[in-house]
Amino acid sequence: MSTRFDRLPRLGVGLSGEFGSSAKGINVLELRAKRPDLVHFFEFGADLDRGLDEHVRMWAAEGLPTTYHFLDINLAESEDVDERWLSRTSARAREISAAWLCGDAGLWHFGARERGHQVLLPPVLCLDSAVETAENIVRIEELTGFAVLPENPPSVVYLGPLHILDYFAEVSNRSGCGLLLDCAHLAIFQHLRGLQPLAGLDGFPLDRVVEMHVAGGTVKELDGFSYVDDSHSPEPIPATWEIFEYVVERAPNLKAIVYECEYNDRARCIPTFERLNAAFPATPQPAVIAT
Amino acid sequence: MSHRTLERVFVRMLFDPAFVDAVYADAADALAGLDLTPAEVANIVETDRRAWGHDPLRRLRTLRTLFDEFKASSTMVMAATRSMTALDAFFSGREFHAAVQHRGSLAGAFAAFLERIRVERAIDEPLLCDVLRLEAMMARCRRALEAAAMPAEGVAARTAAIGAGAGLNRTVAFAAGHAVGRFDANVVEAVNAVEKYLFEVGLMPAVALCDDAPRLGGMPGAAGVPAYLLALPSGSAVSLMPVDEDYFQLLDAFSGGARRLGDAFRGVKGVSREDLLTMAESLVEGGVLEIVSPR
Repeated sequence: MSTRFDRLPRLGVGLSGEFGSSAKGINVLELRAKRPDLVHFFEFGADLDRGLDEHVRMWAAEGLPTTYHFLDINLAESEDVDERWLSRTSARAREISAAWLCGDAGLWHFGARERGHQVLLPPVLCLDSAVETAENIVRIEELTGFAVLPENPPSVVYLGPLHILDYFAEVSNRSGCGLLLDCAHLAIFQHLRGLQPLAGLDGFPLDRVVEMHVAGGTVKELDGFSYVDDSHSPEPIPATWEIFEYVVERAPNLKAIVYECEYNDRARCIPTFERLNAAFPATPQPAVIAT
Repeated sequence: MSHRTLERVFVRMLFDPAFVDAVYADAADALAGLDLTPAEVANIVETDRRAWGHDPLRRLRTLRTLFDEFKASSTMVMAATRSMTALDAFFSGREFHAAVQHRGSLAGAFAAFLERIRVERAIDEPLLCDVLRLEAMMARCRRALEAAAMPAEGVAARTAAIGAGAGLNRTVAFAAGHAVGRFDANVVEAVNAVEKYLFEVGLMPAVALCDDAPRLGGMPGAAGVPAYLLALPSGSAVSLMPVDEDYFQLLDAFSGGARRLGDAFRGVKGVSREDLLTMAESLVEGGVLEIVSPR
């Protein structure tokens, strides 16, 4: 049975980046040149303020795939989805031939869009917010022509009665959108709620998962309060791997996996890139038929 | 829409431990007047209290961004109070909380906070008030410029000739990113003096640890005569240009918003109507003003 996700390309494993990250951290072009088997696309995190950088432009100019990860839209606030954001974001995403738009569905700023608010907050996990987020995704998809994949954001506090997986299932159910499941962020949520890593995944629409993120985390303690910091260090915590292994086997429309590690030493990231590529090759491997 | 209210309370609690204390001590009192359901209030206070303080540098990072736009006034306040806490108190102030809860501008709230500090602490720095007004004006212009969806096209469509006679009935306003103000003539010199100081200490920030660290000095006194400054877009930024008093008078007539040209002219003293019309024509042609209604 064909789905709306069939038209989205399979990208394989990619590297995350943002404005200037290839100059300060892992240079995506150099990594691709040295290990073309590891990095198949570049997910560029951008906002209107900073825009694109030379590295993502060079990457796109070589005809290599990209995705556009927004860093400046509050998907749960209808007034934030304004004409200026829509037109400029879609223009930039088209400039790099992005396969789709994606990003954390939360608050990147409070009040009108301004720089430096230093927040990325999750939405309030309730039905009203899920409805508003779904409506905004439909609007962005209609007005930009891009598929939009909302991502479960990280936090140390989550408010609202729903499990975060139920919230995003509701968003997808109402909007028809695909989903970006950040395995590290889900591990953070489960840790905070005292739940097992896979809790809630049995009722989650895994057929809607188009992209996954994997990143390192750091378990921290504050006056005895234990939480996982979304540190993007090289090594994912075990719960992140457990979630990843479970979902990668069960997500029929999975197209892309991003390893968020761009500010680390490249050599330390290679083993995880290799593991991800083994689990999710850029082109599907033919099944081995026993004789 | 109480989830919106809850989201904003969430932000306030992340930034302000004093507010966290107040909410946990008496949620009904601390959250009075907000459209939160009992379940939402319970949800807040059932959250592990320690979680709110997990990012001790959040305030400083945000302050750093605000400082970028209010460099001179913030530095003058810090020099006068010798206190980092004086600025950090912004996040426990009514201006911050109101801006977050009512979706206002954080930069605008910070400007209001600095002005309150200046008055409450009776800071004896003659140019601080003008420096703050200047930085606040430029911050507003940056936001207006950014908010204009297509500024270049918008200006091009609205620079038609005003026309004599009937032109007086046209409604005119500042184009996005423009504003004008009357300041002490030494205001720019004061800003420059602060920037020079910041450059010098920025060469080696560890000097902040030293008793003999450079202090903000050489600040000019008030000149006692006015300078009229026009803020205007310069690329994606905002710059300043001095204007003559007659231009200031005409432009300032639009500081409160769009007006009929004829009404604006009435407030300008000592300039003929013909000259005012010529001035208005040139300001519209230059993209400083724009016609917002055809007749």
